[in-house]
Amino acid sequence: MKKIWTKILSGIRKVVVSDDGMPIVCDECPCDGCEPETLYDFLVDGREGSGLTKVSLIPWTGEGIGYPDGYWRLLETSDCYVYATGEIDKNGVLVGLPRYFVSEYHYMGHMLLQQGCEDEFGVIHWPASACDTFNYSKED
Amino acid sequence: MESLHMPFWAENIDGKSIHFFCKLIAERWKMFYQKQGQAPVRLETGLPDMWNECCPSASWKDGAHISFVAGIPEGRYHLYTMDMGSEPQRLMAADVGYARWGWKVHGMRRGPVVIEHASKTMLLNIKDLTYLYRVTFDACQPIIALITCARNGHDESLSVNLQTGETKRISLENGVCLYKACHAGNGQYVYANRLSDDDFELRELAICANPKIEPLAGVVEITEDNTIYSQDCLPCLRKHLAQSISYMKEISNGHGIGASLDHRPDLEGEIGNAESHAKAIGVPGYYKTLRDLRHKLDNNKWIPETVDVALLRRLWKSTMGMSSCNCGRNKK
Repeated sequence: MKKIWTKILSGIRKVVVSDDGMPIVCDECPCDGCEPETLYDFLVDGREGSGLTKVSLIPWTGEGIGYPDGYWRLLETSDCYVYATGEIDKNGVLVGLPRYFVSEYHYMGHMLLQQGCEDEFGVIHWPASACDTFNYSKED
Repeated sequence: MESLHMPFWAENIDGKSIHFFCKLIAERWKMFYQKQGQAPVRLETGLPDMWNECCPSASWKDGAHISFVAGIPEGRYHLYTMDMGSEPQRLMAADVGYARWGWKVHGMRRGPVVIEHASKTMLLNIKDLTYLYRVTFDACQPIIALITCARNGHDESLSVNLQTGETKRISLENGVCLYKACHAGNGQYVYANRLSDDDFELRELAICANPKIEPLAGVVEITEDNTIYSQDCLPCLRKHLAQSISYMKEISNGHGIGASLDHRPDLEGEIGNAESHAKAIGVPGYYKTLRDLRHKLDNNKWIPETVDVALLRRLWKSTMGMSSCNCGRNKK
């Protein structure tokens, strides 16, 4: 599991813990900038007895998970279906992320929990996946 | 005990029946066929052993022509065609579907079913569809598609006439779904009958001699797919952006005001085309940027500045990172 930042409240400023365990006082999230990123990669299988029908997303709830003001989505890569999407708040919370993903499909599915970043044109960019290769020109 | 799925009963050109089906071997589904009075034979595709191969269908014209769906279990599946004994040809990404003379009928698990026939593309939408599990055709009446799906979470098999849209629900006499059924002739259906409450895949092929067939109105709608004529086309936008950049450089290098070959009208045309695509794609940031740029260039006699080229480069780069399969998910 990767946490980009960890917040400990200290007035209006924030105390974060660096990778080597040192506390740093910051006015805002000490991230290099929003980068499209796959946060969690998991398999689901809606068949009874598969053990993968219900997958916990609880470790991805709470603060400090995503880049503030970014976006998240739950993508199934076999048919490129987005099951859920939402915003990341200023505290790094993936707002609206369900605590569990429950598959109703009879077969196996490959899921990605991804972080997306908005560019200057208002377009959200997601990490490259097989779903982003459905590109063809309708013009000669 | 063997686990068998996906029956397809067909008659070859001599009128002899051939049964196709899938069997679980080392946790992968593989296709088999069985001629009348003979032992089943593996239908070899040459695809990797670790792939699943399912949804066989067959038709005859100068030999047997097979279609099937194959892929790795956790990955993307594709629809294939194959003449018996030759290498398969991949047609398109699909979880379900078939190809037969002049028809390609396919879909992803969430639908819709796409029908390609006679240079037309139609969309078959099923009301309250949860998932598609199998789409094949009736070997006795090939215009009929047989669809096993879940609607509102309940498994159901439908028979749909692709020309008229007439739809019927086909089930056992007690109303239980004929899972992944095919027509076996004389009104009988073969389906994958579940054998165990604990094992979803443990099934046998069973014949239903007296299916319950009920007309089903208002569940299936077949409409023409007009999106293929739309300007909602990301690669088209990108092409016009790149051509705009190219014309900007040409103008800056002397092919502007006073030159015998003045590329400013070409630039205006390309910017206009890009703006049209951007509007159809529906990203406000794209078409607002292009509209503002057009107005700026108009005020500057269509003489671009370095910042204009840089802006279009950034816009081009932005389109490269925009997911084309989930465009709607990219837009705020």
